[in-house]
Amino acid sequence: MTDRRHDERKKLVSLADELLDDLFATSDEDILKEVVEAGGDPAVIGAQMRERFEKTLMLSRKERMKAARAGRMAVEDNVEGTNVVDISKAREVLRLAFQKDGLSMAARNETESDLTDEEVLRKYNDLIHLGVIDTEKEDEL
Amino acid sequence: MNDIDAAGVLLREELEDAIGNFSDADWMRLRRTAQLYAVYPAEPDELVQEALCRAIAGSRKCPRRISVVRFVAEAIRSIAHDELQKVEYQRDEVSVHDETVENPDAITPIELRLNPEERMVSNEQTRETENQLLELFDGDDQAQLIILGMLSGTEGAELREITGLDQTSFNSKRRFVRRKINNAIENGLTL
Repeated sequence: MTDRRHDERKKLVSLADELLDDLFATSDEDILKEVVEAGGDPAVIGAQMRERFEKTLMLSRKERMKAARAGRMAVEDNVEGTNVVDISKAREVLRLAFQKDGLSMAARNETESDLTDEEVLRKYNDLIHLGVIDTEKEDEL
Repeated sequence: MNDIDAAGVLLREELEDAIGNFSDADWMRLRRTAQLYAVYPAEPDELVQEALCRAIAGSRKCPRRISVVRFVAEAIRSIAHDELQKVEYQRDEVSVHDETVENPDAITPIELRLNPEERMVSNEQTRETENQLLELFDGDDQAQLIILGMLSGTEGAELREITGLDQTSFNSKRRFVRRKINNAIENGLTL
């Protein structure tokens, strides 16, 4: 019976393993010559690779900043005492809040059922900060 | 690698700077490494990017005693090996990223895993690729012997003994084989 997990690619990876050391035993000059021989331009290819790296680096930095901001917000939320929010309760409070006068058209046109849990929690917190949701009254729900 | 203390590895900023200062030859070396390891369905450029992403995400640490180019090349090698292990042990993929971060796509690892059907197709393709590699060296028995030995996992000294070449001649032949394969990939051969 054929082993369905058998992966023929293992052989190609073994081949690569045996050739890797040679790549590092080859001088810079010879590596550049090889690429030219194959019809490539090392300066152009190098510039493209460098550019892709710079983009990756920028995205990575943005992600780190976002993570740091999310961490700070979580700490602030804890300080304000919003430790645990029941998502079904938050949805219900949000649904009622959307029906109130005084909200922007954009906010009123939204339906809480269209929102993900994360969006519900974000809007729920925003509306608490804006004073639209009163957490003390909310406890009476 | 595990016994390297914090002072023995590059800081993330140092690593980013070192990669940012790679020469054209450094990039070509990485490109050629990825060409050898990018077996279906991976593409060489994807593999280089994935290795760089892991490096700057800090999931791998670069010891100060090794060159950063070698470190990234080893990351490429490791990604290729990990993929094959995942197939054998069918490990579940676990994201190393913070789920709370918006738009994690930018640093999400590429998905290289094949389902059983894809793997059957891949195995067929790989056998064809092996034949293409041998055809590249048609008429050169020693080069074909080296290719066959490498495909079967025969290593260094043992492989050299099989060819009957002295160390210098073997190294020279191995370089010829490697260059020809890299150049063929550069011109459209896919592994």
